[in-house]
Amino acid sequence: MARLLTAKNISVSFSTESGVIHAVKQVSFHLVEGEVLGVVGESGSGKTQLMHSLLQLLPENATTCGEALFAGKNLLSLAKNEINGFRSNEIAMIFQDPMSSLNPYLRISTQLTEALIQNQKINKRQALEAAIEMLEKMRIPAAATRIHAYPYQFSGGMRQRIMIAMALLRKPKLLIADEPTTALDVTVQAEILTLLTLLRDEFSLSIIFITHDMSIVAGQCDRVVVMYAGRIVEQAPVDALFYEPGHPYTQGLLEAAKSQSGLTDKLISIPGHPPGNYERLTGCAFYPRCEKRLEVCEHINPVMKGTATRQQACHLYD
Amino acid sequence: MTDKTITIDVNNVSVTFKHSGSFLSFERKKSFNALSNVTFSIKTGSSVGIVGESGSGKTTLARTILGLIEPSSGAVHLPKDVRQKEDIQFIFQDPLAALNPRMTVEQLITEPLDYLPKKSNKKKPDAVTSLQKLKTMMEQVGLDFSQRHRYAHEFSGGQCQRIGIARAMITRPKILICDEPVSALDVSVRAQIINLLKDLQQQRGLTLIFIAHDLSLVRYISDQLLVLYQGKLMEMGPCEEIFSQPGHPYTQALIAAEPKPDPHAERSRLYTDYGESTTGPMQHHGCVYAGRCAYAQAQCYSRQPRLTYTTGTIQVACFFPLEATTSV
Repeated sequence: MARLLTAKNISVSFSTESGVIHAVKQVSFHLVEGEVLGVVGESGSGKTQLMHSLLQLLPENATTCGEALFAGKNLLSLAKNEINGFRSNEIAMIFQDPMSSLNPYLRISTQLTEALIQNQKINKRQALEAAIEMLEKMRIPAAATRIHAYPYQFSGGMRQRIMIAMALLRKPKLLIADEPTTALDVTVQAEILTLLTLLRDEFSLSIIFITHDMSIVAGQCDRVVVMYAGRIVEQAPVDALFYEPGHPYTQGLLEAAKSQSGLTDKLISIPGHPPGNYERLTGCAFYPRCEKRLEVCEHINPVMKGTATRQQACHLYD
Repeated sequence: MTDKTITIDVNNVSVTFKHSGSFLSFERKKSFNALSNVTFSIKTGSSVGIVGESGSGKTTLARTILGLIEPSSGAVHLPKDVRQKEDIQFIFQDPLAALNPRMTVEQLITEPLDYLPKKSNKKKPDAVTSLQKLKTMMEQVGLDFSQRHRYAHEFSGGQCQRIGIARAMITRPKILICDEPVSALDVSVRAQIINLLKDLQQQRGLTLIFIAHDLSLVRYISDQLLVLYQGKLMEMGPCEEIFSQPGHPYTQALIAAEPKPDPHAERSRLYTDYGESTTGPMQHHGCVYAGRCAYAQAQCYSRQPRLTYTTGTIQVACFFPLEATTSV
């Protein structure tokens, strides 16, 4: 299968009044066509900043370097009018909170057809028909009448379906889903996840799934990238990662997730807390919390090593 | 109240929110039942989990117990020695939002001491005792005493929640209400906070009310479990027993919908349509869950089921409670 996206050495930093924050450090990954890639990490691990950098959605105080090749173009160095062609046409994004992503003053119909009409090639009526058809594919009941409603008239799960419909209207190749079910109830979450699985086949989508929840990754993804403190610490096919986790952080995350699902008797956590934004780290960022740390870990940051399919950044595998 | 061991007695509590409709429209005045006829009691020193999805009324219930919301009917009885202001404390979901960004950790944690009621036998301590209290409290929740002059934003989410817990515990409350205390925290630190709450509860004989939107962590901290749906109690009983044998179809759906960190299990999962929770007016006078229930029958749409004992300890509000064979 052909590679859809190849990211090489992406770094993102923010200059703030109190200093420079290095949010993403030298991250490389790729995505194969039709694949669902999970990006797992806790808050502050840089997973969202990394994805925002791909679509140039970062605020003005951000500096991005590196390379992200998509359809032969480097997304990071495209001019504003060029990247606009990629947004939603090629790469679409859905966000965590559907309510704050929708405009409360506009009818769903207006918001859904906006991008289609911008395209100039189709008129209002055709756009509306396309939007209704898309809402039906999202299993929204009575789509033809409900399309004229306002966002507040929908439940959280329905709003997220509307967001997905909006993202898929321009038939993108890649969908970036940033914690799409975190704000939803568990039963609704299960439905949205089922919907995404169905849509993946229907639209032959490639998906990047950003989440902090290992359980969601287990059911949704083909391959997983684990991030910690701005770096990728492990990447592997989903089964390998879950049944033979390599990096101590991945192991800890899995143990914590298993205990929270009631699969263990004791509730397990990783001791300590993630490093702060301004902390200067010389060695491995996970060193202070790691139970398997070696002397070398304090001073030298490990690089990604391993086979073609799975790698980890850990001195235990040197 | 004759039973001395009962701390909180919630008796047939209903809370109705009225909203008057638009100024110009001719709509009738509407009211919304956030809680209807909720009855239960909590024993001293026990830990109760309240579980329900958004809009189920779990936060309204907590606020009613705290005295922030006046029940429309029914009443919450607290023992005579419990004063709502000083003996019940609250921990919030978003730890950073709950802490004043302009106050140092020291100010944040000791602030509740300034507001102890004058009549109370707990008097405001002098500066030295106050500092001593702060030190003990910070150590107990796992914070470094030397960091007391820092501000909330300098701490991680988990540490902020520790500050929130210290702030709640410094007045030595008898009852602690935790409203989704770990939902906003990272997976790797959630267990730390749960274990801390558990320890504090055991050391101090606290009565703990733990609110959550899913069942995953409740089982580790709660003895008793209440399952709420649209303001009504669906199921109530010992936590362990409900987990192994849910009686209400809604409880079963909540347990089944939870994803597991196991790719094989997740891939073979049979997806069910759970339906959406609706907050709009109901079209029938039956069970509030009937519209989403996989087992609903004609009777469920015409009459409301009452909470009845299905086993010696579990009460379920369902005409057709699940048997051992049908549960997950």
